[in-house]
Amino acid sequence: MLSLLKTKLNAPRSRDELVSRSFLLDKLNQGLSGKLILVSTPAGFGKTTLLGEWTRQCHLPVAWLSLDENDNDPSRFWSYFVGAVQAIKPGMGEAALASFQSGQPQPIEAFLITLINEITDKLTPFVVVLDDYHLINAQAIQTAITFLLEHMPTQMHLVISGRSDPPIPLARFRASNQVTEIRSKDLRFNRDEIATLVNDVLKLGISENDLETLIRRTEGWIVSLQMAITSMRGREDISGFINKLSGSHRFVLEYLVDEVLADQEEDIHRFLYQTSVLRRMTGPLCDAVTGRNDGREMLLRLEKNNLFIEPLDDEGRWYRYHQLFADVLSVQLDNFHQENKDILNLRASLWFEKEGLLDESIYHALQARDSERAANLIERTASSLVEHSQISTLLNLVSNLPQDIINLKPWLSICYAWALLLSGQPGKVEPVLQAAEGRFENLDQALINTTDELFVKVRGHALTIRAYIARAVGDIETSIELSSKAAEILPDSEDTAQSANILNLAISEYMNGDVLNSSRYFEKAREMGTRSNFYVALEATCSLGDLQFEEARLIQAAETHHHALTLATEYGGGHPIPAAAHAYHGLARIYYERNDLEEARRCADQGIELSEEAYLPNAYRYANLALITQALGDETEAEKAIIKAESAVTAATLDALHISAWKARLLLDRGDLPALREWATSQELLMNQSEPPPFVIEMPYLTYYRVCIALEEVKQAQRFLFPLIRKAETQGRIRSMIEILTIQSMAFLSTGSSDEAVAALDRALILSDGKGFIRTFVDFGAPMQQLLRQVLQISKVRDYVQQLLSAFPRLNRTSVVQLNTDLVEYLNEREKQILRFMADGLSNKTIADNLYLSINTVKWYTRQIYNKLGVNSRVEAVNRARNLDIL
Amino acid sequence: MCQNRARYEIRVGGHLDQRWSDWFEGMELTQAYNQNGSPITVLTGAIVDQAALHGILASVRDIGIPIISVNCIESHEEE
Repeated sequence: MLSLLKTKLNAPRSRDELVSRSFLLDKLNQGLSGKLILVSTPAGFGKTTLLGEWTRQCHLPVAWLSLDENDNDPSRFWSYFVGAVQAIKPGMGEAALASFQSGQPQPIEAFLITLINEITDKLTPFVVVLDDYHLINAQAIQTAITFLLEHMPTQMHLVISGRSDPPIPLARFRASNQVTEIRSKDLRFNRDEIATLVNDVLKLGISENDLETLIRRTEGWIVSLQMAITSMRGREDISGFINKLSGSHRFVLEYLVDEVLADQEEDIHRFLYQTSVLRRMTGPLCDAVTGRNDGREMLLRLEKNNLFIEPLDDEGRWYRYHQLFADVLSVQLDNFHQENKDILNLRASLWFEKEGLLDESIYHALQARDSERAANLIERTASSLVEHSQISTLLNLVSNLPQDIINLKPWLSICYAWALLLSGQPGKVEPVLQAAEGRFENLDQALINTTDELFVKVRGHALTIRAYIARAVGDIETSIELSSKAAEILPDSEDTAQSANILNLAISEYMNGDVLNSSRYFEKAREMGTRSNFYVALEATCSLGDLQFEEARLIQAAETHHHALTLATEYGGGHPIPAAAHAYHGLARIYYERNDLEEARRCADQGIELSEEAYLPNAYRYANLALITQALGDETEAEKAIIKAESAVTAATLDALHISAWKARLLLDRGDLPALREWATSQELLMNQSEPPPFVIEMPYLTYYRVCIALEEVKQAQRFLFPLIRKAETQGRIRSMIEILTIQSMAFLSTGSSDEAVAALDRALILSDGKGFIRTFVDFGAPMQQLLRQVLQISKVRDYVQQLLSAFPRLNRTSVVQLNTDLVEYLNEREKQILRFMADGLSNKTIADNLYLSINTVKWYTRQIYNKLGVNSRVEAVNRARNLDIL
Repeated sequence: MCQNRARYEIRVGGHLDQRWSDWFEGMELTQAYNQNGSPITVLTGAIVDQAALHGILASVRDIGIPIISVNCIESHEEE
């Protein structure tokens, strides 16, 4: 987690209240019956003071966050938000925050849901105060706050305070009575309060007439009342003062600030002016800026005299000027002092740098218009900004620098290039990389040697970034080449870039269909992720499950996905984090293949539910659901799902090609020939394939082929099937082999080559025996059923063929029971073992412990046993097994 | 329609003098009185676009003076 400024998380110290305003505190307390308390008034109405006081006496714990304009970076905003909540409950939200550091940025909703779940589980009622919310203008944050309000756990209350109403749909929350509002009419001092304050409390002895003037002139505006009081205290002629105030038409606050300043000595003027460039102050910082050595005393003096200053901590170390005063002050003082503000800012920048507070050092360097200094500082913080996903902060900082200065800074350019890539602007990356590398071309050899290390680093990162862009445009070969080169030259210290390379290689090899290499890289990515980045580890684990699926190791694949789910659930504190949708998707595919359609449906639904609330891309999950519901016989649901899948992809992408193929699978299942014919003519890419298609389009291609068979246009696509089988075989993709062989057998069957059909199917059966494949066969319907009957006579795996045949009439329970004598042998050793434990009445947990398996694995086996025995419960399973003499 | 560069006149309550010009992005400040005799300041100047206008309105907001009116007095659309 990035380091947070503690002063931003402190509620302001309460000062002794001169007039009790308990009705406001009551109103705030009453606001706790709803979701949102909105404190919205112009500057100077005492919002912060009121909320600070309420914080101290609120019966609920309060998380406080003072916002500033730098918090418009969502990653930074939410880091501080979590930091504030952690002040109540240490350790909260770490899991959620990690989503900002995942290699592929997650949608903000993924973060919020994880956080909301954790709050729901772990926290008792509490309040979050967001002060100075008017400084937030980033649309992404407004959207996220709206989302948070809509899904807010009941024990959470949000207070938003600022100078203008936040651009969130307030009317909707108002309509449901979820908002309590405190506005200027509530905060403005009324006549009685002013009278009590000046005459009863401060005993200024102001006449009725003068009081009227004071009320009229200040209009109960707290800040101007305070100024007036500061001015009146210790003054002999209060009536004269009020008279003059009444006669002046000037902006009341400016007038009063002038009056107060007029009473101060020259050294206070000078101090105020010099330090007015600071956004927060401490004694030594003031000394650095003013060149004096009495900073701390001066601050205490200002505090004692009520001069524009407010403490930021309880130790009296950090202060800031009241923003409104500081603004008026700077306009006033500019005209008296000609001291160069650039120099004051530069001194502040140097001091903050020395203290290691780079953010503020950069701010003052930019204020001092010292671009070179700013660039140096930004370069030092840039990698950490990229690592913490503070992409918009970095882009914003760089936008302050002139191009020629950026070009002089190769490392800054590299970080800038990452930021451009990660913010979806890959088109702007190349010139930046060239500028970075160009820096080294123009140096003579001697200089290059001294900058070797930097050069290698820059080169390694540039290669990595280009590799990502190459993969994004589908140039897998180049991507692998660039990433391999980068991995080779990057020093060990560059582990972030290194893991980016490994991940890129793993995904690229996957797209190539190279199961072996891809597994190797995903293993490595998982290892690196386990150490440093949970999201990478989770994604790598699920991808390994997908690879096992491709290797036709369904049991291991299911176990891997279950393991991923367990990890994601632990990580989310009892709820799987949204990224776990990948694991559910993997499981749904496995259960579908095993013809456990109910379970497949459950997993598909859960995956969609998880990812939908987090707005993760969902096209494939919906397409898969369509296939499952279709198999369950629910055509309406299938149609709905496929429409959702289609609407989730844009035209002409690889994804669109896949989704269109899933749709064709539905049409195949329904035997809708006219629609299939129309579909086939639209598939130009697949039709005009001039060489065996790469793995990334294998699924659409095979679907196209199945459609051709259904349309009796077998020749159209048959030519690449042999090379595809060979390629799958070399790459260890057994699942592809099984699928292609079944298609081939169907092709032979439809051209009357019965012997070849039987041979191809027989090969597929031998490959898949004992691996749990059912739907790959059953989905072909009647022709496959017919061919399987034919194969049954000669097959070496007759039990398996029997099992497949029994699955044809849409797996209904009775037909299974009739056939299950054949299935008994199909129970493998492990299943028989678990069945025996079940007969002994052991719980799943105990069975798991006895067999050193996870409980999910045992549950999975239990379901297999139920399926195979055609039963729905333990009791039935045991009875059935007894009847069949297995026990 | 005052979408682009245009001259604006913003009236605010109370008298501000020319020293505030920088605060309001260089707009010209004129002190005047309302029909009912209360003091106002009229800010006039060319504003490049709507974003700049919102920036100036935020500056008004930040010192807590009331806005009385905002008018687009001359559009430079054709230029």
